[in-house]
Amino acid sequence: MAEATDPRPAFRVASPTATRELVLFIAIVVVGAGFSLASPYFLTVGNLVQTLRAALELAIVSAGMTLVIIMGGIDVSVGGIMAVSAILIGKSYQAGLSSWVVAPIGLLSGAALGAWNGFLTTKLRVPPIIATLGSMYIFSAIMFLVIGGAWISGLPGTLSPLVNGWVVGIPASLLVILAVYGIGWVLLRQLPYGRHLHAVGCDERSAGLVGINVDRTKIAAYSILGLLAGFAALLYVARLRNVEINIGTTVALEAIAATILGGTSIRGGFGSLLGTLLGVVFIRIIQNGLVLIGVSSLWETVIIGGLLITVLTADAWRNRNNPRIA
Amino acid sequence: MLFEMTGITKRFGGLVALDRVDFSVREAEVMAIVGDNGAGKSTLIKTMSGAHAPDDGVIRMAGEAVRFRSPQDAWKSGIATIYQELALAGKMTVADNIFLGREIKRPILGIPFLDRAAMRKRTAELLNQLDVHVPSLDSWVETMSGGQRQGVAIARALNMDARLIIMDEPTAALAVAEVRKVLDFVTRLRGQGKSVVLISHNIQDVFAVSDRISVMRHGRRIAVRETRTTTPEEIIGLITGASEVRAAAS
Amino acid sequence: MDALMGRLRGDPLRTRLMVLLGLWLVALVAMSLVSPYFLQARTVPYLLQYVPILGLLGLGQTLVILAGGPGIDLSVGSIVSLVGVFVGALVTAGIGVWPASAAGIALGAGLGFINGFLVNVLRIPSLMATLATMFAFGGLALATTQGRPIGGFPPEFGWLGQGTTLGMPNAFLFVLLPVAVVLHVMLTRTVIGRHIVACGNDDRAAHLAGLNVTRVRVGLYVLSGVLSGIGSVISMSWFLAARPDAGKGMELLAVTIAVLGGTHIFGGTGGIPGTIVAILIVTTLQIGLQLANISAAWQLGLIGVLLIASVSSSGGFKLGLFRRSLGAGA
Repeated sequence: MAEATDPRPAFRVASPTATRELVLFIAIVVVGAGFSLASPYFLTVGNLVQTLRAALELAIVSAGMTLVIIMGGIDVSVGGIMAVSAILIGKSYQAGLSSWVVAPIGLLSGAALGAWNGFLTTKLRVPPIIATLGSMYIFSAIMFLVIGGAWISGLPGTLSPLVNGWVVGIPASLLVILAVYGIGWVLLRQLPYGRHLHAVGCDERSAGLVGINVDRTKIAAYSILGLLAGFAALLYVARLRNVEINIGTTVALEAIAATILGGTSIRGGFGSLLGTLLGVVFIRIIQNGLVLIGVSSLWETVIIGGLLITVLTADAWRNRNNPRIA
Repeated sequence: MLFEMTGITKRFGGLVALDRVDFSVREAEVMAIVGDNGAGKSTLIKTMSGAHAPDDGVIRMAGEAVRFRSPQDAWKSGIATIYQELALAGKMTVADNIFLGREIKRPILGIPFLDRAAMRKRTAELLNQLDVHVPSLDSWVETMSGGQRQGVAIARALNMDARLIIMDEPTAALAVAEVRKVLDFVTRLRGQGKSVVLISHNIQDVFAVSDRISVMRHGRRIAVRETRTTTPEEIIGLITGASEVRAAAS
Repeated sequence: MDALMGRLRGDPLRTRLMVLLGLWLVALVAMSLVSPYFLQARTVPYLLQYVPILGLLGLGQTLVILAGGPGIDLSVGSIVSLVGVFVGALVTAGIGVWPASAAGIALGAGLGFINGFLVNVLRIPSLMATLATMFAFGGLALATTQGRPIGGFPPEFGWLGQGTTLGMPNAFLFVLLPVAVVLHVMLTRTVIGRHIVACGNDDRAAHLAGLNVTRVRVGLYVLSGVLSGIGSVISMSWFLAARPDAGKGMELLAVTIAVLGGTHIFGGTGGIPGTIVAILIVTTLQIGLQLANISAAWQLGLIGVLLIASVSSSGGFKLGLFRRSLGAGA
């Protein structure tokens, strides 16, 4: 047991992702400033609130995705989970059920589909990328089979105050996002489960050796993500009053992008919900800004891809002294 | 007899890693396990710690037959294990690691919140007890030296308040002064009435602290000796099988 | 029989191949039951026309995954799209269609090199790196064309994608088949093939043995880019247009084919024949279900189930069952 004359500098920063969060925040401010100069509509309350509402579903799903990635997994099927949940929600509304019944249905269906992914990756030992890829196919198939190419439309907007409403001058959407991220933060930092998530993401084998139920930790993480996807589906229906055929097509990749931009390590073991939230804001601001200045929205994907590559390169450069598993 | 294994057999596919092994540890005793590579030492303690389930045989803890289906079961029976690879989560702090799986909780409205203050306090106590110095309690374990990490792993075992502590090659990667500390610690544990099972390939260390020595060879326990009455030469002979050869030749 | 069982038991890849061929037979039978049109003589060339593009992508993916890392290339679909847009732009600018295609394939190599560099030199995990390039390349293709396809290809260009020789589609006969054969020979009989498998099995050991693991893996990403480029050319030849979303969704199918064909996701095990049969299975199902007017949804679902089943329980649930039924004790 060596003395404190260890020449290697200790990691003193309280939160290793603080740098990334700061950088993202500055980037948001800079980009926001740029857009507000380029377009008079950008900095208006109306526009910002509109952007917030559009970011709602992505923000909620990204919170869950952060948990799963910290745990060392990944889930590209969340769009499909959203879609199937939305269909169940739509059909339930059409059957005349009240929101009190429909909401739990949406949440539980999401959680169940998430648990399915968890099952595949633990009990059947399918690597997460393959398992969730396969699940995505299966969920898409279910969606097509149930609604074909048509939409489910004319759904009640009973829950839309959650999206469109205001509480004491604050947009309800903002409160919902803060609530979800607040609970997520508590889970991650203040509850034992959060420690278990980090441990499994760090080194699954060691976590098992010290007595953590690795399978249960993983299944729980995927289920939480599914639950949040179900919640996002509820809010989607509340906002659009429809279930459209393209629901959830981009949410998985955008959620992963937001999470990685926000500083969560793709290898698992550490991450930041605040960073993810900033990542979501950043992505949505760019999308909104581009539309306002007349640049085709098709450039978004290029920009997000470029950002991801930059961020990943920066991470890699930062880790260049660490011996890696070859 | 605190801990007893009788007729333990463990197979991996066609390989017999443990062949009808009998093994026992008394209260307040340091039992060393020695043997060549592949003799089955690691498999034996993984079976003791609950990481493996034996295919055959009986395990008894304080006279009662037990079955460990996971490391948690072993811990509940009072066995703490320090693995050779330490099993630490690199990107987590010292306190996180020590309390992984057995966090101190502070229930608020029924929800079990982490009691960080209590865990930090206890961590500081444990590190003090072991004379381990770390740059900061908030450092990530992967930034620390081998000796410091060994200290954290031992602190974790200490925190488990176990009756039997298993240590797999605890001095293998340490400097001389650090080795001294580990051996002192083992002696101190015995002084507290606990039992220690120590795997080591360092005969010096074994003779410095152990009360009895079990020799493993080819998956069998071929001998048990009282440390006082045996010699390093005899032990090495048993490990390498020289005594068998001699016996066969004579 | 004993010798056969002995050989089967000893070579998991061969066992896998047998299982796959059996599966293909089942698929053929099932499809012919499902649709009366399936067994007509016209169907076979029709089937084989779909095969080349996906086949090339699947082959590239197989090698990338095989070399370990773990390696994966999620950007192949986007490379197909971007190369197409590039070639379309050159053709519109007046450059001849065949030189433009060659340039396009070179671009594919360059894009593949970017992937290889990110994954193996900068050590960015392959999943993330190729996800990011998938975004970037695909987005570039869409943004520069505003989503509109580029036409104006000369009709003789269609020879590759639409024409047939001796009843077989040209793309299959003159591109996929030779490429598959060359890759198979390279993998099983040359030194570089041995090196690829070694890298996938244990890259530390390979490195210590003197292999340049980085060079091998980057090379395979370049190869994957080249094959995607060729696939793009075939696609353009087929439609006589460059669609900016030509490759959309193909990466997932490519990975599916590689994994279904027996390539282990962490590398070290796998091969060309398995991939080829996997392509046949997937295309058979697709065509058959399409001919029977069964919606695309079922195809998707089936592929999803196949993908999961082929990887379950570390290396093949069916494989495990098969082994146990043989009474293998080891």
